[in-house]
Amino acid sequence: MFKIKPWLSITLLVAALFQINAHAQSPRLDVELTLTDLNVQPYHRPYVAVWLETPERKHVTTLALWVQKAEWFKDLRQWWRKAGKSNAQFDGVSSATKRAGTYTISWDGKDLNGNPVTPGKYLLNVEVVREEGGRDYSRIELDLTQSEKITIDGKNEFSTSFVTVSAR
Amino acid sequence: MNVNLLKTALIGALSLSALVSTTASAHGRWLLPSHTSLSGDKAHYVMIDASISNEIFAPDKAFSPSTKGAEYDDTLLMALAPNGEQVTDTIRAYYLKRKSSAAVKLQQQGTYHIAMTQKPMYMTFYKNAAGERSRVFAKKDDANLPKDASDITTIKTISTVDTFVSHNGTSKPALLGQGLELSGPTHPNDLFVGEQARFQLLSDGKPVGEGIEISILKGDTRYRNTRGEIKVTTDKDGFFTSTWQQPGLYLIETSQKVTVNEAGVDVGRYALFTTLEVAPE
Repeated sequence: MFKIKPWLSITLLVAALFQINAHAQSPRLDVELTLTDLNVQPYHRPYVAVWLETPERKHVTTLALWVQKAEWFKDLRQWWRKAGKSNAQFDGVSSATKRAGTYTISWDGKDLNGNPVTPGKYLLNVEVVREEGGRDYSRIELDLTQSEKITIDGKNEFSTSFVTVSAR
Repeated sequence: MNVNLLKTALIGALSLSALVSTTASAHGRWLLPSHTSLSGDKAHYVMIDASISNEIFAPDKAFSPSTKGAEYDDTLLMALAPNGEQVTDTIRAYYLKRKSSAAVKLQQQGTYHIAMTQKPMYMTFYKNAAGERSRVFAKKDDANLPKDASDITTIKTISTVDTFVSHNGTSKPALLGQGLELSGPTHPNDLFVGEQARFQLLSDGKPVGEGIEISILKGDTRYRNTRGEIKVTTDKDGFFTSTWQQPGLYLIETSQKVTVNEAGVDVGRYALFTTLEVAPE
């Protein structure tokens, strides 16, 4: 039977690392967000914002912004204070509100200007607010250099959701 | 126990404490903004209610219009726009018995500093011939005091009654430059539960010194059995901090003795009543 000698395995590992480095790609994030199906009257579709901040809580980029009118931005209180005050253009990540269900928000590691975000530690924020309803806000630490799957639990407006970090 | 004696003692204690507390802070007064943060490019209105009331943010008495019997007052409120200039549109405050109410149009983007126009208020305290304490809202020379009045003291108070509202983003709020007011580093429209805010207390635009006590009182006192205000004290540069435990509207209250060189005035005072909104995390 053929056995890999220790020195060979190390060489292979170094080669593999080199390979990764040579083809360095932006990390990827997939946020699988479940908007809770609420049996309430009246039901308004929630406003949703998903964004990244530095560990010092400075807005880096917004991954998703589901709200039609700028007048309603202020109700996404945390997003508005961090991102709404920047001059960034959110057209690329904006959409109309969505009905209850599970949605996957994928991020290619680039900011709103298309520049890659430096791999490292960030805060991922998820805020869901419903008119005549509740508000859920969750902020988690993640490291874009470590592949992992994180579970986030909403209280009312979103249900158990998942964040998958794919470091490359 | 002698009931009459107790009664006399009680009345004496009450009237004395009434004088002391009146001297210290008079009645609560405040502005209640309908919004403190608005988004979107187009101009928005914000409603400002103003009232003299010790039940915080529940109105009690409106401010009497400067023209007696008028239904409104265009000089009660003023606003400093984000560019630092005073808003020139008329801000018409309607006299609504228990509150004065005005709509303020926010055309620029950034933070508006909205305040009651700072007018001096004079109060004269005295004892009549029977030794009873009394007070009138006038300087001693204009007060028509009884001939045998004694222990006469006139206090001049200039109050800052203000709040902040941001339209489509925040900017550094313009300073009134007169009386007491709050300044950063924390922005007054960026307050969240669990976070520490740090403010500097200014007097005539300059930092106050050490040891001025500030009361931080959450609104809706009507629905609590205790007022529960938090007392903090300024450091040597006039800074103080607050970590917000609950979301809601807060009244920040303080006062300061100031030197006054004005005929007929014995004591000068600045008072501050600033309304701030704290968001849930």
